[in-house]
Order: sequence, then structure tokens, then C-alpha cells
Amino acid sequence: MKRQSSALQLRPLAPGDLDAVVALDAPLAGRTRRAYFERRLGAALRQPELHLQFAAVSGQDLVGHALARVLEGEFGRTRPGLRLEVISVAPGAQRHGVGHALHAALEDEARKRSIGELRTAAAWRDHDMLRFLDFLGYALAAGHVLECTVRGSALLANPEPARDTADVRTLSAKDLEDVVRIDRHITGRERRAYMQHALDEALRESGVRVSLAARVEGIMAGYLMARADLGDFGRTEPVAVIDTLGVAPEYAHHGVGHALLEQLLLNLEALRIERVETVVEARALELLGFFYGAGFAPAQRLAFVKPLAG
Amino acid sequence: MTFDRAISRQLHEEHAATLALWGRVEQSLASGAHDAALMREAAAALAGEIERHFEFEETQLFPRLAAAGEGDIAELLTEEHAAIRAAAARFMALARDDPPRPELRPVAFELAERLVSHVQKEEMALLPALDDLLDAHADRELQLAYAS
Repeated sequence: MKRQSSALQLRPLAPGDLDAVVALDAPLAGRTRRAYFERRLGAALRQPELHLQFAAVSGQDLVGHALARVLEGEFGRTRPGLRLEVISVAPGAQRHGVGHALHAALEDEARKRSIGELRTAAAWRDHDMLRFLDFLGYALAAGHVLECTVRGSALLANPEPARDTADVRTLSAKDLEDVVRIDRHITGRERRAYMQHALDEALRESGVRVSLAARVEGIMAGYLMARADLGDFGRTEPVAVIDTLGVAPEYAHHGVGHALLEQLLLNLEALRIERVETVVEARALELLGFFYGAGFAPAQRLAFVKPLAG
Repeated sequence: MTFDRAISRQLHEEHAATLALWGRVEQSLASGAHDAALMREAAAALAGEIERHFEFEETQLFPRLAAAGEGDIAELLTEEHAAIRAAAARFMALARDDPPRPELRPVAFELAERLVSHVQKEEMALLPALDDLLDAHADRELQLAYAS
């Protein structure tokens, strides 16, 4: 795919762009993030169906890039979306339509894949980014972004650990059938492909996926999946994002969700990941209550959505 | 994190030490200070880690994973080892200089990013896979091999 806007050319990012991407990003991020971009480019080569990545080139120079990932069933989704994770323009090329052109390329490609909306998040103090998202036609999403600091969290300080109520272990490929079954009970839908991708990602993807299963007397009672990668959404500190949480209806209100969350926080603390974040739909009152009760609070970030017209 | 197999627990302890050391390196770099002693400590630890920990994983663990149908993760981790080795060679050469050359800082940042991410990956994917894969006999064999 190629677009031309005066001297600007848009094309998919290629492995050979790595040095230029890292060089463009470093002054914007305040540090070099070679390994992050190397992982992201590698992931797009391995799973092109899940990644959209574009470069903006002027003459011989890379002047911008955008990275986005296809959302399948994360955060209880029922239809595919595209999550904009990185969009950067070299300082000398800003305010010349490069960011807009990159975003338009993502939109075009998303429509070809029958993706109905773009989503992203930004810190509410990042005024330049908020203006840019406004200009692109994003609106506030209905979901709330919640976060919790790992070290010193109220849940870990609890003298009676909830994880004693269940045996919490890393989710493995052999747990797939149980996960699909519980998810079907909760959502009424068959999301095998999403769950399979999420499990595969733990073993084969670039970022770190922390996936846990809780068993009570040997029976799967719930699961939790989170993903951590330094660099998404302009972050420069390690954050884990919980995107999937399920408890079998027969084990609801038995402390299984808290047990999973406690073990996640312990694991993240050991991995030196400092914060955990999630997005909860505004009407999911029970889930909101669960996270607030576990010590989560509103994050200093806002969630945005842009529906795509057919 | 809790692991059933002794070899997983040993590797986990080494991972924790790596995360702690490179966390200090990152903090030092972010503060803008140059701590020559810390850079030399990190270089020495890295040399040992590559020679022993990486070598053990590549010769003893990854082939077992591949034979058990988990060749993808073995391949991914081997690729990461190669990238870490390349950055480590540059870092170890630069860490000898005092005062430091300007190239040390970006290489140290790159290495910290690679090592932390790699350790996290192994903690969440490799060690649980080993726990599933190994029986008590294989666990003892591997412990002996790692100790020798």
C-alpha cells in the first residue's frame, strides 16, 4: 500500500526501518527503546493479522511512524477494534499533516479488515496529544481507565491473603478448554480463537503476558490475563494491563477474583513492573466495584474511541 | 511466583538478582550520574550470566523444550540471547573506560531494556513450561548438570 501527499510517502514499516524508528523516538521518549521497537516489528512479521504498522517517509528520511494492534476479545469486546499504541512524528516534520496521514492509513487498512473502530488512551495532561486526537475525530470512550500501584497495594497488605482460597498458577495451553468453557458461561459467546491467541502470546509473543488460572479443589474456577510492554501509548515506565478476567459463575463471590489479582500483583512485583491498569465499561458496575474494592482508582489517563464509517 | 522444580527455582533466583542489578543500573543512568564501579559490577555479572546461565539454557533446556513441541519459545529466547550477547560485548568493552565514553550510556540503556524484558519473558513462559515438562528425575539431572 502506498500513499503520496506532496513529498510524503506512506508504506508499511519494515525491519530495515528499525534504526530510523529508534532514532526518531529517542528524543520524544527521553530514552532509546530499541528492544521495544525490535519486538514490535518482529511481532508484526510473525502475526501480520494482528498488527498494523506504517512509516511516513519524506525523500530518504523516515519522518513518522504509527503502530497499532488488532483487539479481539480484550476488555470483554464483542467486535474487532484497532488499538493505536504509538504515533510519532519527527519534531521538524510536525504540523505538516504527517500524523494525520499516518492515522488515515491505519483507518483505511482497518476498514479493509472490517474493523469498526479505533481506540487509544492518553494522559489527560498530554495536551498536544489530546488536541491531536480531537482533530482526528476521537471522542471519550465509555470505559473507565483504572490503575493500581503494585508495591504497597492494599491487596498485598491484607493480613488474610485471598490467594489461600484458591491454587493460583500460570495459565498453560492445556487450560484452554476450561477457559473457553468459563468464558462461554459468562459472555454467552464462543471466543475460542481469542483465548487461543492470548495463550499463544504468553509463549510466543514479544511482550510479557502474565496469565493465571485459579483452581479450587482441582477445578478451574477463574483466570486472569494481563500484558506488559514498555512503550505503548508513550509510556516509559513498565505497566501491566489486565485485559481478560473471568470467574466461573458457580465460584462468584468466593474470593477467586481477589486471589487472581493478589497473585498477579505478587508476580508483577517480582518482575519489577510498578503499575497495573485496566479498562472497565461504565455500565459494568459489578466489575467496577470489584476493582475499586481491590484498591484500584481512576488512572490519570483517558480512553478514546473513533468509530469508523463503513 | 512459586515453582515446583528445583531447577526452575534456581533460575528464578538468578533472574531476581539480574532484575535487581539492572534496575540499579537503570536508576543510575536515569539520574545522569556515572557510577564506574556499578558499570564494572554489571559487566562482570553479565559475563558470568552469559557464560553459565545462557549456555545452560541453550544446551540443556531449549532442546528439551523443542523436543516437547515448544520449539517456538526456544527459538524466540535464543534470538534474544543473541541480541543480548551482541549488546553485552559492546557494553563490556566500554565499561572498562573511566572516564566513560559517551557511547556507554545508550548501550547500557539498551542492555537494561533487553535483559529486564528477557528475564520477565523467561519468568512468565520458560519456567512455568519447565515445571510442566520436567519430572523429578529430569529435575535432578538438570540440577547436577548446572552445578557441574
